[in-house]
Amino acid sequence: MKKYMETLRRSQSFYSYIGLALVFIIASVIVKEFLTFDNIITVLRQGSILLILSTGLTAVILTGNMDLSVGASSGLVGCICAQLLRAGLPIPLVFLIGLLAGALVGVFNGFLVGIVKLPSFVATYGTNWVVAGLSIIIMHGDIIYGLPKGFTWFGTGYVGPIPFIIIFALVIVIIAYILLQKTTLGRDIYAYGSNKDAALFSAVPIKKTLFSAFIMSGLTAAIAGMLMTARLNAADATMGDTYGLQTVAAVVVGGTSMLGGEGGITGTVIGAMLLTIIVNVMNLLGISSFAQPMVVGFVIVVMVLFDSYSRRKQNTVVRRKQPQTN
Amino acid sequence: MQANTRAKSFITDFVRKIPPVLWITLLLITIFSMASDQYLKFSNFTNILVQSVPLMLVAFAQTLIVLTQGTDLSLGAQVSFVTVLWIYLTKAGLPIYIAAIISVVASMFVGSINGLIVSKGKIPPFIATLGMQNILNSISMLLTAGASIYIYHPLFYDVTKAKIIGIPLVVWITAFMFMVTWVVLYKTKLGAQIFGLGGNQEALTLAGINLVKPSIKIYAFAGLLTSVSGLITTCRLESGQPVVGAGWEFEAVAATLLGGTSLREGKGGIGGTIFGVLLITILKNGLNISGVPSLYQNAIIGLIILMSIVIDALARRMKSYEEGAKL
Repeated sequence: MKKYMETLRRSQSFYSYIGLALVFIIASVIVKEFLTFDNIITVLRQGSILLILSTGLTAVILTGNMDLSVGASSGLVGCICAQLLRAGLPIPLVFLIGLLAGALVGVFNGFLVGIVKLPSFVATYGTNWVVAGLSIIIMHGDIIYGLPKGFTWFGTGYVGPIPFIIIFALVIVIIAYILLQKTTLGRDIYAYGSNKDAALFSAVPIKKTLFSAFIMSGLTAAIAGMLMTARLNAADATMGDTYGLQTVAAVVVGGTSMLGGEGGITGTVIGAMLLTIIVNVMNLLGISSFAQPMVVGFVIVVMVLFDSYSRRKQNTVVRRKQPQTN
Repeated sequence: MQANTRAKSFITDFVRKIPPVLWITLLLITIFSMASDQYLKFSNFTNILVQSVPLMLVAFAQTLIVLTQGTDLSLGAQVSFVTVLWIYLTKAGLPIYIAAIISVVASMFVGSINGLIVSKGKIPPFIATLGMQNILNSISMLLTAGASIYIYHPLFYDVTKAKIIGIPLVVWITAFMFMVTWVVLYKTKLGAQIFGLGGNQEALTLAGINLVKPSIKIYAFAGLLTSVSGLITTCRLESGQPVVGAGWEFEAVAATLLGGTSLREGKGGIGGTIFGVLLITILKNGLNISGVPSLYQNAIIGLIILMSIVIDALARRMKSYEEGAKL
């Protein structure tokens, strides 16, 4: 037990676990509707889109880069799909085109960062801008309502008592976990993030790794965008905007280092849940939606501060220990 | 064959001697002047100058922060916050000048908190300021209940319409702020520290220099520049708008990069930023004048700015390769 506690304390997501536990306890105490089956399902359902978005972003941040375009990309894919469905294309084809569009955004980001060598957050902020502009063009300033039932089922359908979207998110998380922890690509991504030069000299295909990470992020953004559209049964050019920041927050709050190479999907799940619970509680308490970005922004800064503090403390411990081991 | 190499060396010479920001700007001006006969009028160029003022001030602020190898993503939100706070306080009954001073101080305070978190907490500047951006946006939204707020005051009209020697007052203000920033950057200890922070932070720490104080001062100074931009924006709109500055922080980063300041090495300066801002303003003004539907403008502006950054980055790399080859 003691050993287990020690591993937990050493893990990068230590503060995220504590944060999640704290938020969970506080939420159950101050809001009595919080700990009901229905509300837990609601929290999970609200969290699933954020969760899907953040799994892809985790891969990018693990390489030490940033992708600020995920919110807008999910919006763009949602808009494209809605227009195609309205035009009467079959649903599987629409899904395929959606995924392709997401992957293309990923390739574009990979090109700007890997080939042109722009700083990733400048490149992806630019992509964000272009993609958001494209959504406006595609929607012609309109909102599309009333999509086919077969499509909206993915967002609103149930499997037994559990919404399909939760199961879907779980599957994505498991796939991402396996990709990052159990495959060569995953190891390459970690290697790229912890030391790019060392990775290059160890014959890690660095360009391919970077492109893969951005494509993963583009694909998850596409999936999230389609589910969002299915769940809302509508599409609007700005629907992905609020997710941009929350996604970054979820990954960072989950203990994945902005410098790359440290962290992972487990932490991201914790981070996404923590943020979703906070937003859920604010909704239950009836706090103005204007105030919600403030709380999310505050949580990001505080969690990153804790994280940076604990990392520095750990580093000094390691440094002090070194002479003894020699 | 000979002609081919000569052409090649002409192109490399061209790229080496003329920075992309200049010829892209010239290209844009040529295209727009063909698209509209209203474009090449003197009054339109005065317009462009005046339109560039708010972004120019924000871009000066961003340049200082980029020189320290940071980025401040809260600058746009600071502009919105200042426009809202100024109108809000004036509406609440404070004299308009006092309200303006309080808004400036508030913006500098926000900046110094950014500086404190970044330096003391040692967290990446863009995450700290992304958090601040959201906090400020929330405050602006709460103060205005999500809509624009108005008051009538002759001061607004006077500021926007006043001219000194034929040049609008706001341009003079910008020129003055440029001088102040230039002096801070090149003639003071703080300026040396800015370049130091961008060069090698570890070396500064090892030399026993405390990074907290200079960081606070730099971000607070950025807050000052941004608040002036906010005040001018308020005068122009005659209202406080909670989302007016959204995205300016990125346009400012783009202008800074196009102006030749590097995000990685702490090299560059404030002069080039002016050209970056002018490129962006000329692009926006031209799209409007040549009647491109606003539906398409966002995507076009984003794409052209992104392309300019890409071309600039490639040209810079080509140049450094050549310099490397000479050595």
